[in-house]
Amino acid sequence: MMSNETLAVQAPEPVAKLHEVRVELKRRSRYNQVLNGIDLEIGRGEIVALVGESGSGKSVLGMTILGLLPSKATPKISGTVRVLDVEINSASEKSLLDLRKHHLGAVFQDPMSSLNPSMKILRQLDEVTKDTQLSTQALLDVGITNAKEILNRYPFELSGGQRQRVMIAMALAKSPALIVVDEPTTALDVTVQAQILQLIRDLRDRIGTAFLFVTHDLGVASDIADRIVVMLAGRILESGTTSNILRSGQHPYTRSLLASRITMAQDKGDRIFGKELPNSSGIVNVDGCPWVERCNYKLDICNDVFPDPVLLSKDWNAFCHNLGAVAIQGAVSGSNAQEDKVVENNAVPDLAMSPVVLEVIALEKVFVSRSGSARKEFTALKNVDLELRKGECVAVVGESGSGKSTLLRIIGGLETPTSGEVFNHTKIVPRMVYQDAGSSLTPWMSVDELLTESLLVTKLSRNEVKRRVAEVIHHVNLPEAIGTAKTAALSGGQKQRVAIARCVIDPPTILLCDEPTSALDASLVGNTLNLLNDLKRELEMAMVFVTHDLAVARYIADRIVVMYKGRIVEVGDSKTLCHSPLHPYTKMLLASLPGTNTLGQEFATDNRPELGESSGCSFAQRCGEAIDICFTNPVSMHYMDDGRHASCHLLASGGSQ
Amino acid sequence: MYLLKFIAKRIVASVGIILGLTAVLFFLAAISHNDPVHAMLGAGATPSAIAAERHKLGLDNPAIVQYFDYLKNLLHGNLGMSYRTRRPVASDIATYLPATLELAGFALVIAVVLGLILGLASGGSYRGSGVLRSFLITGASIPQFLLAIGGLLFLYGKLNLLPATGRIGISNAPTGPTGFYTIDGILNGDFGVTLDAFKYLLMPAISISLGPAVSIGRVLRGSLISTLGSDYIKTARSKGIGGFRILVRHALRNSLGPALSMTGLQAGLMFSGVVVIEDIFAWPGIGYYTAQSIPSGDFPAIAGVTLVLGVGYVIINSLVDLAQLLADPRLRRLEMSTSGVSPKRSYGKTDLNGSSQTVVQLEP
Amino acid sequence: MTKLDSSIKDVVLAKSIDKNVMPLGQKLAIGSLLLVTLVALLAPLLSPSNPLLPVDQPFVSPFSGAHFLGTDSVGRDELSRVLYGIRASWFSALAVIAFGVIVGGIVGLVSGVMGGVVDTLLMRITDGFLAFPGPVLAIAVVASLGASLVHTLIAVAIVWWPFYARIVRGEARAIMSRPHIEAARSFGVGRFRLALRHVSPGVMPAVVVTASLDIGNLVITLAGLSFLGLGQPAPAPELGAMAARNLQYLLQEWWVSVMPAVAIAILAMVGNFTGDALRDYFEAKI
Repeated sequence: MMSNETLAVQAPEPVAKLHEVRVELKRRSRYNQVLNGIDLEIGRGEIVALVGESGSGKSVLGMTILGLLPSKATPKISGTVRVLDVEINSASEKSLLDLRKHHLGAVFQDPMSSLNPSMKILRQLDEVTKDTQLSTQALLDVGITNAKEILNRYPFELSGGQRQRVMIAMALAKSPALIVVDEPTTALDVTVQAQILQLIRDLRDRIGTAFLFVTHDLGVASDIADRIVVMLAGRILESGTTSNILRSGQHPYTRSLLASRITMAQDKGDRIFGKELPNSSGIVNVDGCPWVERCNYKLDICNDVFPDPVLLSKDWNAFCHNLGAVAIQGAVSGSNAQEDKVVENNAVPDLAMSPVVLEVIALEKVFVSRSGSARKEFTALKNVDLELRKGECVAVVGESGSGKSTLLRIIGGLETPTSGEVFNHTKIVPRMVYQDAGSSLTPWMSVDELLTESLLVTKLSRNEVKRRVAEVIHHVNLPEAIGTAKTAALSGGQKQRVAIARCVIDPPTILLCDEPTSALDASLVGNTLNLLNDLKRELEMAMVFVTHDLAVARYIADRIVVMYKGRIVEVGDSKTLCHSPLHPYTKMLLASLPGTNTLGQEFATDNRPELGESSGCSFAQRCGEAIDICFTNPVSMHYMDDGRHASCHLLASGGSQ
Repeated sequence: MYLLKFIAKRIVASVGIILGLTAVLFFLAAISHNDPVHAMLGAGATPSAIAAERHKLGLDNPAIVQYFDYLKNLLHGNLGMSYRTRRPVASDIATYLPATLELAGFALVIAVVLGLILGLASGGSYRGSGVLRSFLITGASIPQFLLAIGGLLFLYGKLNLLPATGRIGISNAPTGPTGFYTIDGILNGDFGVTLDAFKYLLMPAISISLGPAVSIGRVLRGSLISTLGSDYIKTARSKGIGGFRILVRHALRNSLGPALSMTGLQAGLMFSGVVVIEDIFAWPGIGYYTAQSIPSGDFPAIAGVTLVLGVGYVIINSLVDLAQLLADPRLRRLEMSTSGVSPKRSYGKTDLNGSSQTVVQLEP
Repeated sequence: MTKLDSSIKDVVLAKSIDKNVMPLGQKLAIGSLLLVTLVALLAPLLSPSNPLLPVDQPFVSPFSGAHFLGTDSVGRDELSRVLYGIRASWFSALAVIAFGVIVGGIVGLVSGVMGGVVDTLLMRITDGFLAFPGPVLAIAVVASLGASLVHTLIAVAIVWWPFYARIVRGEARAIMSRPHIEAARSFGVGRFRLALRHVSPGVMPAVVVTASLDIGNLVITLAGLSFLGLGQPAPAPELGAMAARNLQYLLQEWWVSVMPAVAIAILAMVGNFTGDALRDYFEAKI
């Protein structure tokens, strides 16, 4: 505390100051330019969000500031990196250690692997605080109420949210001047993410620590940051206050990022803007602008010379040769900068008239685990009903553990239900697009072989198979030449297309999608959703789309099913459900969406003691509106006039709305 | 509680393995090209004498009965008669065992300590760690008897620093209570004996242990490097903890598992090394006894030694498993709630390794 | 779409170039493996004389004129004997490894792909084998069968394959739990095709690395057994036995024992360096 106050007196000097920073890292005995002339300042108590896609160098920048670039990559750093009064690239190991010990903190992406698995929390915290009393206080500060108990646990005995809180507590315990947080919420559920973001803002306000917040998600950045820095391929392309960037980002890349976002405001009839990354093989245009190949405003000079910053207003810089043209074009095509906007005549077919293709009735799934002689049961699905019509898309939304994926897997025949029935009226096996398309493709097989394999059961002639493979490759907009490539050699977007091609080469009546976009960079999400939409319409497929993201669900689906702890809590037309949710849980999910700027709203924390299975509503413990009856009486579905239904006591008593 | 349960389970498993070993040895004895009766009576025995001897030894009974007889004998400490020494194998082994235990124990300690040092020294990434790595690979390639021969040539032949053969140079050295000369010397207050025994022990022990030490070191190096690349090491470094402290407090414990497994595995290779090395240094242990028994085809002796070493191997590996259990709290929980979740899918985002299914990683 | 077209080619091209870049050290290591195999194959051509017949005075010193490695106690050419010994050692080790990879590979693959009862049963058996101290058991097996090279190879092969079964099974289980297997299954791929195309190529790197690292272990273990007299009978040129039988002359005519032992060390080293290089190579590919 003392050191921090004495430092604070010397303000307004920034906590960190980077000038002309270039970093080269060695990878497979070859150096790659990972950061290319970075200028950045982080002020005291400021939250700066570093936004970029994977490969943009944003995490490397964070590690450079911490002085923690992996020595295995034998980093070459030039330029100046000043943190407080220490010159990172020339400082002695000792002074770097001191700096990290007293003035810097870090929180990494994956709370599961960021804590030492064989050390109790107490010992890991004590390494920072040297004092058990302070360790306990540190946990209390980050909203862990049962601190004493948590201290005596091993990391694997905590939930993801708890672990990330412990990480933050550890980073904060020494009241550092700056904390580098690298995608701290990417691995967490949306509601937990909202809590963690809230926590970071609170702590900044209370303690005055500055944060460098590395994220790929513009929505998250807009919720938390004072200032946003947009990076691509080791360059900063634009930086400015959060409101400036979000409302009127000027760089063409910033605009494409903004446009490819799927928000609640997205018009369902529009195609989402998306640009395929040319490739990610590490061959980067070092001298010119990294966005040049995909830029609609490019000039000849863009290929060879990276522009100097254009000062748009105080603290707002964009690095572009052709900002004038951007501004004019942007004004013409509307504030949303939808450059490739194509308005589809998305005439919604009258789904009520379509035949029902799939019925799920009273589905239950119980997983049993044995621990010695004791049996442990986990109810993944409880009394789930679902109906799907031809050409309809139903999105199933929920957090991890809600049972949404189990439901999908049972429909796909990959898991057998404990009780209940699944009626597939089409008799054609549904096909599944997996969460991580890359890992669902056998890496050492060629695209042709994988696609051919899906036709093995059809017993088509060899020529017919060849024709169908060529056809489907064309259909999903992949070049013909891709057939002979091994799937491991493809880019993320290409893999996703191959995965989808594999599903539709023998067109199913029902397509199942398990979070097909959650592993993709923002610019690829739009492409994938557009492709799925097109295929659905052309092949007249019905679709079940599992996602944790209500905005994506709202865009792609006709109907949304919200699940919580194995039960369906609300079903409704996607627009209506998002506009006026019935169930408190749906409201909570909506409020947790990044980019909605509803922080400040209190969420029940996830570290309340588990009360076990009570007879009442399973959401009652986390529900802000719960009344007595919620804890004691089982809930049943309440049907509204417009076909929506939700299971909540408040609906019966008319308390909600 | 879980410890008792674990130990009980290990004992049951060990008994099963040892029973299996007896079955294998019984089978090998049955198909042995050396007929025990011929071996006992010599070539000139009459058919009737052979038949009588067969009956006496129970060899005319059905195989299963013979096996149970064999087990019964084992329980009574009867390992059969050696063809060569004409004495009970059990008493031969009892004579030679202490020398072997002393040598093997000493070698194991050297192997583990040296392995730890080599692993830690080559696990860090600094200038020269590549050279050490090459040294480790070379070390793993040197057969034990080359080390022994080299040692004999230089330390005995050229420099005459260490003795060549035997266990001790002092006649009438005090014996008992342990049978280990180094320890007996201390217990009897005669440090000259300890020192002398130590001199004799040094060359054979190092010859045996260098290979296993290098193997342990290599495995430890590998797991240390992968541990040092993990997220929680990054966390520890971000806390401002120094390199050495990170290596010892954070990385070592989480890297011990594979090295411990390798130690258990190497124990088996060490036992065969003991036989060769005892032969070269005429070390009066069961290895020497075995080496002597091989040319004369003395199967009961070899089977007896195999059984004893097999038991030793099982005990060492049980201890290794126990050590792993103590080193890793996650294993402890696994032990408490065996089998865990249905194998196909675990709940939520965590699995037992504490890793999670996240997709985005640190670029590049 | 034209932009996408060219980009695909770039990606494919970039990866294939990456694949071919192999550091010099790795090339050297793999080259040495091939060289030793060539020497072992051509031993009869490379040997200056018959390894079984005396050609000169006993104990001619090495590096002197006619006999590069000198002669042994009965005047046989040491170089010829060592070359023939290398041939026997090397191919013995490769034979045991081939047996281990085939038998262990099949057991491990079946176990890993089938899972369930089959897996439990096969792995119980494998673990039973692994619970024995292999090399010591091998001594007992040879002692029972009688000393000969074939018996030694049988004994070692019997105790050796379980390692491979374990490794292949472990890799196969890991691959089986990966999403691409479930995806393949959902597209109606049968068990056989699954094992052949979707699992086994992924197991190969681990098997290749283990096998090459194992050459050293095997050469040394086989030499140890031969040293104890559990190999071919007397005049045959076997490295371990050559070292053992001439120990009595060690302090004067050291080369007769040391040369074969050094040859073993070189063979083991070639195996170990190659294994290490291959491991680096596969790790870099991931």
